Amino acid sequence: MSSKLLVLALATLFLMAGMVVSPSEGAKENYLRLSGGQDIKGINPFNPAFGDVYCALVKTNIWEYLYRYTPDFSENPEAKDSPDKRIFPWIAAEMPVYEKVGDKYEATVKLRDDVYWWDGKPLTADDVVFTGNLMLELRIPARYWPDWSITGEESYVESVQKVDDFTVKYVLKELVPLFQVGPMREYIYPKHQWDPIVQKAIDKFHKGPGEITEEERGLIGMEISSVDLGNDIKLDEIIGSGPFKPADWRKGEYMRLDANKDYWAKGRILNINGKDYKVGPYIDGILRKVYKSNDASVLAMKNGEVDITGISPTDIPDFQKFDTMKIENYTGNSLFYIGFNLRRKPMSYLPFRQAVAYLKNKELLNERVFHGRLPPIYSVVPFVNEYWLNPDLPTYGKGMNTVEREYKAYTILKEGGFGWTQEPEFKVVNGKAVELITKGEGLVMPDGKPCPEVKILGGPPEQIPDAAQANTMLQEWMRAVGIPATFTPIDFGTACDMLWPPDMSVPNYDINTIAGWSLGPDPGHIKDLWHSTQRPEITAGGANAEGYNDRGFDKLAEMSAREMDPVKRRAIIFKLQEMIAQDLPVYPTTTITRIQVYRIDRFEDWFNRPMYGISSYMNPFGYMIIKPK
Amino acid sequence: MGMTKYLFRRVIEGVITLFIVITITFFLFRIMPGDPLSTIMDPKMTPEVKAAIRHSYGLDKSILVQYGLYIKNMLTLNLGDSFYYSRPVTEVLARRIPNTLLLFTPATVLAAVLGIMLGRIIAWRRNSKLEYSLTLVGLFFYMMPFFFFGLILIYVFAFKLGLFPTSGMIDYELWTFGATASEKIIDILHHLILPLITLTMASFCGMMLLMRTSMVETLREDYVEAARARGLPDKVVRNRYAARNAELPVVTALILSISLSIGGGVITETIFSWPGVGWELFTATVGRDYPLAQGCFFILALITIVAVIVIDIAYAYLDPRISYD
Repeated sequence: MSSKLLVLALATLFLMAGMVVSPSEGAKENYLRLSGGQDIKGINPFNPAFGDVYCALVKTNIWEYLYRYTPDFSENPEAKDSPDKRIFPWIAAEMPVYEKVGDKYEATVKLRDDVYWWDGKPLTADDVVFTGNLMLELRIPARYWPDWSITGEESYVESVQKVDDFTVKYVLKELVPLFQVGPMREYIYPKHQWDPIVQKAIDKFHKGPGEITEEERGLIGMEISSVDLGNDIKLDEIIGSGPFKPADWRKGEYMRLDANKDYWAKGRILNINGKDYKVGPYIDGILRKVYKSNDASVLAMKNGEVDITGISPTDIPDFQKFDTMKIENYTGNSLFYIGFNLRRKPMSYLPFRQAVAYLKNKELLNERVFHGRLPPIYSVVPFVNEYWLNPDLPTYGKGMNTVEREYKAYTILKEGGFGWTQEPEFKVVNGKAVELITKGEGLVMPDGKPCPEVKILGGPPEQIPDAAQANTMLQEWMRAVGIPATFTPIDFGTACDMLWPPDMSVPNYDINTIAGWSLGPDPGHIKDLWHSTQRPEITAGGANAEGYNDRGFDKLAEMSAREMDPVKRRAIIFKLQEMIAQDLPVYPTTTITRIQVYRIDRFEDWFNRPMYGISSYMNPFGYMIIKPK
Repeated sequence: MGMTKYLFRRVIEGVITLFIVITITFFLFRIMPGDPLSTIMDPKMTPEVKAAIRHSYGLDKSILVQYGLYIKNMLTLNLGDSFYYSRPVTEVLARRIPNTLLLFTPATVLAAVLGIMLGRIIAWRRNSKLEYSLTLVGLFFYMMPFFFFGLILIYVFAFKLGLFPTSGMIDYELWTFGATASEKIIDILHHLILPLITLTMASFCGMMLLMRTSMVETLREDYVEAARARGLPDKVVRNRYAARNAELPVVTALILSISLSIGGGVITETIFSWPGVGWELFTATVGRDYPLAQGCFFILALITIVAVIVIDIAYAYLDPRISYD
């Protein structure tokens, strides 16, 4: 009897629990609900651990920049003298005015006088000077230091000075475009909130009257970055100037941002794709819930628990059935490539790299393996960044089929001095290869030595099955012409250590397909990634894993960092792309297309920003203009 | 040896086991490839900044020095700072442990109670339809990977029928916009049902089948026959004579299942986005967050060891042949 009662009780509990009406059905209508793949670790802007896109989504709604890129990346007529014409003033009132004074330059920035912090105090030159000095004196936030220093040692900014309450003067040792796309586009912090914290940290670690040492600087930075926003400074005590305020945060579960009803930019006009939008915010806030798996967030979207999420191509048919939702893609400004370790043979031979470039049929892979998600690119500037893209670069086999590519690779290798113990044999009709009759074997390098095994580093199949399949196909294409290639699956963290050894040893790999970059709108990454000083065995943290070392390239790359004339700079950037495409330290392969689905029955004026999509931290405008229906 | 001495000895053994576990996990994470700070250090940071960060986490010291510090800190329950959260591990885990206990405790109790109870019933009713059907169902779920079972529950009860939430522990809208205490309790229970069923099923079927087998053997024993011959009621024979002895191997299995359910907990918490220690362990291991992963192992090992000691003591109650002497 007791057992029956227990079973009955459990069944009743199950049914009762099931009958509880999900509160999601009574959703607060004006809150935009996002699904997040990861927890927000923290929002202290000085903590280097909180630099990821999830934390950035919150930070970018709290603190703001002097200048921003235009929402649709169209050119700003006022920025005719700017090294990037797509920039427009945000907290600043107008574009900076540059003046040569002696052997230095002065950049004068006028601030708007209607920008207010959340506590009602005006945002003034004191805040901008304070923020600038944090970088010059303490080098925090550390991740932005490279924007302040071309060499990584000294800054090209000598000082930041207050002229009057709403005018700031930057004294520059040299005038570089990085100034406009770097320091001018970093968060401004309220002096009245952070200065006491900074002073306390300095008092704690700075010994003596002299300058702050490197070691002290590190300790002071760590102290400031350890301030827990949410606990040490309560959420409602955080002071920002942005459109949304953090209001409730249950770590591991959700975060709620409430709209700043007194947002200073309210009513300001943004022109996006030829249409004017008034800045809000119109929504009551943003609710971001953590869904650890993509399946969970897709189910949540279908169940009406969230208003926007990312989906995979296989989910599209399911979502097409909902007339309350819309599916929209965007192609990201991401760069994936085949990276060659130029320190090793056979990767050091240009014909070898060219042959691999021909063999990699990225068009076929995008169509058959990636279902259109990874569109091919031919430059280290992805095609979505039209402004800087050099469209006239070699495309290495575009339009060729597999046999034609194999034949071309074979020809290049042969002409480059490679030999075989068994040469590949092709059936050629009218000068065109139509069939691979015999696979090549025993590739011999131009120095007469047998070609060693070439390992292709790539993501493991259990994590990224489609990329693993693509690498297996590349392995087979290479083997067809006699290259002893082996696809070596490896986890991302381990691959990073092989490419960029933390102990500054020489990178230990042959071919890398696993690492890629999410890029900003400025093409400064070309210098950062392939300048010879960026080889990781020379500079700690240097990104040039390939070991590309070309003096001509270095010189041109340095010029690109210093050329202020946008037209001339563009020409230099074009030339740099050409040099990479010809020397092939890396062979650009793909960018990435992401699919978003969002609710059109609840909100309107969704803004899909080119390169960054709708709900990215790189699209703060989207949250400012979206309206409830 | 009296009860106190026995308990003292078991606690000492537990501490030694815990020491071995934390030592193994310490070195296990150190031999894993990769730089643990790669997730927080930007490649563009200056060497000084990187060195300062490395120093602040003690990673610039030799592995033996790190181990010494680790053990020393452990004695004061200082589990270090999480690389990922930049917060003390104890603080991170303090938020997760109640969530895990909320899921683990009822799942273990339910699995044990239901398993023993149903196993007893089907053994008693041998060759009945009830035995066939429950054995078949038990075998089916025993063989089924329970992460798959969890996914089926989500699909059917959360997605198709809409009876339960798809994931998480709370309804974020309800909580953030203010809810009464009773609404919050009901909400957590509502979220608890599916992961609870999954985790319960992970060990319940095995226990039911084991109880059945054990009970069937016990029923053949002479003392059971003797009890029947004495004319004792069926219920008394079943529960007091047969079942009590048949339960002993099940209790042993329960001890083992607690440690096994840690793995199950990691998977269940991940599938259901249940923010517990298992969920954090998964994230920390993938993200090479040594201190947090070690802290998770420590807590899970501690829970297991305490549970084993408690059940060990309970054994003596169940089996009169066992004494503390």
